[in-house]
Amino acid sequence: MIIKGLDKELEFDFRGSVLALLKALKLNPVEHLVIVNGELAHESKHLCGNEEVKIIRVVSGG
Amino acid sequence: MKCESCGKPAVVNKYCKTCFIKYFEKEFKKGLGNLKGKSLCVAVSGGKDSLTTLYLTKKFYPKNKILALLIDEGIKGYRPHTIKSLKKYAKEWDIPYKIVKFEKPLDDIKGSRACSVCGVLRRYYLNKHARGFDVLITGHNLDDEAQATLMNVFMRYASRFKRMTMPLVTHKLFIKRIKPLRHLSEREVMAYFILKGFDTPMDECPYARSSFRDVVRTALNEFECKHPGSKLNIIKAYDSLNISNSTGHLSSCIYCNEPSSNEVCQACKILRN
Ligand SMILES: [Zn+2]
Ligand SMILES: [Zn+2]
Repeated sequence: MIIKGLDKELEFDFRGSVLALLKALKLNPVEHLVIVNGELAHESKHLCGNEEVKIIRVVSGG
Repeated sequence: MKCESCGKPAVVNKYCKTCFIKYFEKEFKKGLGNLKGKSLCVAVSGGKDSLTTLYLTKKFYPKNKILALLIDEGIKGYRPHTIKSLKKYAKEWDIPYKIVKFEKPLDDIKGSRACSVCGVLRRYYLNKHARGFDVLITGHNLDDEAQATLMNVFMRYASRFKRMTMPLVTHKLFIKRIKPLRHLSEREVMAYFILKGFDTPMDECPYARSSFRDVVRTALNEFECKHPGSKLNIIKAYDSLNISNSTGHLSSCIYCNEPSSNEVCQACKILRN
């Protein structure tokens, strides 16, 4: 799958939950939200590998 | 996972979209308290927290006098983006706004303490320009508040610790402050913002990465990940201390006449350096 939203676009072969994806990318789930095919996805959502994924860091200043 | 209240697929926490929005707005309303008939100044930066605060304040108090007040610190390539968002949403939600610029842009005075300098000046300008309104509403969320509490403990900033929810000394020139997002996490605010279809630049302040706050934020979020609920417990522990402020004397600054415990206020010390 192609993962957008991080410093650079990333191609990543992954199957599993959203939470597992964040862990695999070493991202803290407390600091990130994941958009799957244009919709906010729960941490428990299962990914088959062909989705469009965007990771949003929730930390922003000011 | 299914939504705890209605059984539809959950999207954030234990809720589906509809139930999460309901939960979020209920928490916000609780945080606002009863503001019937009061004039409300909302501090905005144009970021997700303050825009959410502005939107919901207007939603719950559509008939009150509301002003969106933006303090422009003068951070190139950062603040101008969110000013655009503020203007767009202020128009859409029919809320008047006012923009006040730092007399000296932060980019010129930052030194190594950009965040603390910025904090002092922002508080100063907000208090000064919100004068005349009954309350100042700010977009500080649970993360901001839990971080600030720990920072004040780690650095032993006793007076900052005491004045986190109200000024140390009651003074007619200090406006009452309300933080309706104080019990909602940054992640929840972002989820609400996205689910409502709002949009604003999500850049991080260029100074944020070098600050002590950033260190505390990362450590606290790692802790929160392993022990969910920690951030909320910090705030609740603080609130249970019931810190009371005094009504002692407070003089005014010889340069700007604003309330100050010293001859020259903190802001003037920075601006006149
Ligand atoms: Zn539901
Ligand atoms: Zn002064």
